[in-house]
Amino acid sequence: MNTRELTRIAVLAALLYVIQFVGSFILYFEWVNFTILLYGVYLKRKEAWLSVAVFSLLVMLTRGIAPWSIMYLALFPQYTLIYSFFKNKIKSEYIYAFLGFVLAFLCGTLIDLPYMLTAGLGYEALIFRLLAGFQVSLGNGIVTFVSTLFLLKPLKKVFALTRY
Amino acid sequence: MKKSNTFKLGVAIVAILIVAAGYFAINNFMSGQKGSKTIIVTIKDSTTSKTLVDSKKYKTDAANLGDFLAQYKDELGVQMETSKYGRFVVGLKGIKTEDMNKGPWWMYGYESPSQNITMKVGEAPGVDTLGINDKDKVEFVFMNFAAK
Repeated sequence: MNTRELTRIAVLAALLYVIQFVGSFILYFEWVNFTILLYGVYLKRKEAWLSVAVFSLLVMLTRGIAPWSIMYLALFPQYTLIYSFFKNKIKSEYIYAFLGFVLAFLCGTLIDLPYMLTAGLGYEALIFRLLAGFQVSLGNGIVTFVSTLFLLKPLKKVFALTRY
Repeated sequence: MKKSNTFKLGVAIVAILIVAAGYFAINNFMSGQKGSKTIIVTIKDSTTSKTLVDSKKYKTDAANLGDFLAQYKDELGVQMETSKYGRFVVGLKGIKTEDMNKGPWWMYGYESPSQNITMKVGEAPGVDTLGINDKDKVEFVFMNFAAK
């Protein structure tokens, strides 16, 4: 890996970190999933995976090593692989928007999974926690859906410009 | 506006409406009983093993626990802080969490005979998420670790 590739990965990871940090102040609005979708679809697989992995490590370094931050590392780089898998097979932004919605909706519950499995929650408490999480996940999912629908194709030009 | 953009806008609006319906359906499911009800409150400090309020009945019209606590703010000495996930209790009856990282914290359990729901201390959701119903029992405990 040369210096240019390392620098690009660092910049892409930093950009994602800024997007995550800004979004962390607003409950239903986050662009992390949409940005990961863009990386997965428009970057080389290795570059996308490493950028998101570095981003997840940055989150762990700055916010602490906790079950949720470990889940970032376990989950988000793998999301780029899913998007990357489809990038030469699917051209429709509608399908990407749907896929983005599903993955963004699932990520909240998946990140919360270690807590739910280890806290020994009773049945009712588990249902309440899942439902409260689903409310936030619906917001995150629809933001990813609408962003993908309207911005996926226009942003292709931006990523094409940065290609080397 | 291009035809494809109009179609896209239509798809986005339909998707937003479906998601909003899902959001409000969950909200409705989790909301409490409307109108007047009686809530039974117990407040304990496990660090001194003292019971500060013992199964006292309170009348309220509040829909959720957060609103109920706001209503009895002075009598129960309620101090709440607001996060992006809603309000959370930091102080009751003059006892306050001094260090949010180390605790002790105020946790609570919930029992609703009418809804057949029981949540142990530490399991119950945020106060703004928990709808309340007539004859619900809420037990607040100032403690370091949630009871398992």
